[in-house]
Amino acid sequence: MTEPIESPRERVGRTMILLALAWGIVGTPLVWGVFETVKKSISLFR
Amino acid sequence: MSLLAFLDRDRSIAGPAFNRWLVPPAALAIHLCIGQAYAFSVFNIPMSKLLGINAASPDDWSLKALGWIFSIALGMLGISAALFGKWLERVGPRKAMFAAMLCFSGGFWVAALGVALHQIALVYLGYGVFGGIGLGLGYISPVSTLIKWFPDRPGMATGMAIMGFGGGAMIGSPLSVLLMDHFKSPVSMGVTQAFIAMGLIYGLFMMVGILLVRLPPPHWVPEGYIPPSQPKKLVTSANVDVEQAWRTPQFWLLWMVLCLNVTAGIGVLGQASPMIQEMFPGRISPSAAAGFVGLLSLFNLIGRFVWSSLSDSIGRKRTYMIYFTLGAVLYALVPTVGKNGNVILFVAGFGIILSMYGGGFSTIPAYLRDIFGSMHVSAIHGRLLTAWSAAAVLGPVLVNYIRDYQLSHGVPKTEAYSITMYIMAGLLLAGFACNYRVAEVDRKYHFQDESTASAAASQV
Repeated sequence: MTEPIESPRERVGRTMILLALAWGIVGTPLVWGVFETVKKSISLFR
Repeated sequence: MSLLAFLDRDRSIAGPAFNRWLVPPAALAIHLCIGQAYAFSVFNIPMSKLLGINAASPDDWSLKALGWIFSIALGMLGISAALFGKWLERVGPRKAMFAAMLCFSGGFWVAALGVALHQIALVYLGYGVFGGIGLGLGYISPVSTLIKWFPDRPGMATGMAIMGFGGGAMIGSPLSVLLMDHFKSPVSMGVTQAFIAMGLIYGLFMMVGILLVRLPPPHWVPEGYIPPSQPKKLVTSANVDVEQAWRTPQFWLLWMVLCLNVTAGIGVLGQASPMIQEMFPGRISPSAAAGFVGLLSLFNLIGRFVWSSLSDSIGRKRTYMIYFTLGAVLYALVPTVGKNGNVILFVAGFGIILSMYGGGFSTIPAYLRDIFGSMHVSAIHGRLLTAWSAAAVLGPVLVNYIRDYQLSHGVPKTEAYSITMYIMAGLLLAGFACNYRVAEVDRKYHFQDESTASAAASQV
């Protein structure tokens, strides 16, 4: 049985999904951490 | 495929369709986790009341004893980065990241056992020793891989990863509080359970990096990238073996550059909250001071990315010249700004200082690549990180000692930091002199077998 050959378009699509997933996984907690820090920092300017 | 085979360097070489922009998130997955170390202090108060719960009992651990956990971890970071750098170059980033994950997560679990049994030695061993080894290995493991994938923008690439270390503290602090609040009960502070959960969460998160990371194929270059035919000034096309690198004056000059830049920043970072309250008495509340600390962390994070990215355009030596001159000027101005009572200028000045403190960390790997080549850059970086450990001791000691000395000699609290700031400015000027002396490495230190070197440089 031969493996199905991936077209260049499919390959680009798969890479884009992987990129979005990878950056989403690391970006979400980072954005949360920055948000929590900014929230805490606001008290300095009150 | 067995796990060990999966971790093998040869198995982690990327295929032709691999996108290099998947490597920065892999590095970030590791650095965002190990950066938690800078937020460890949130456990100090709860861990000082493990037996008494509502208040510390006589048998509870003192804050001084708990302070050693972080110091041991940071000491082990420097030692392990220096010791295992060469091993990392041999086995590749995936195996090193996996070892970092085992040590970091395992460290949390051993520390959890120590908390459950109320044995501080186990906490020192767990978070301090094992966790510290995880920190050192994790810190250096993605560096050379990123430099290989981004020969056109090495400063930006390593800046992204090392920015994650700064971000890790921002995540680690609220996460720790969230977990302790969740597990807290009338008979427990929730620290044991929080440690177990954090070991698990960080272990899984680091696995994302382990699964994503790939090495570029030998002699790979980015599409459209043409390496400069004439190397830029202070950017070598040769390679220096790690065993030779630390014998060169350049290594020790850069060691001093990192140590002095970190010493100036770290001492202030640790004392930021009492410092702003004492310099502006009655105007800055403890919660506003906590906001100041948060803001400094944010500048530290942004500086790691912005300054190292800028160094790709203006060069590493010039970037450090900016850190040292601008930093010294700002430190020298702080006492005057404090006396004038201008909080906004004070905060802005320290924000810029802390951005350059972060930038100092993230620009150094690319500086090492420029000076020593990319063959053993992770291992050389690992050895250079001992400067961080030295600064972690020197910085807070300098700030605390000088402040206490002044207070004991009748200097008012509002002015107690003035001399410290001038000394910090002096340290940065000494850093300027060291950086000024950095020149190209003598040819006698160059790695002779360039065919092996270029293969290793493109594969590590």
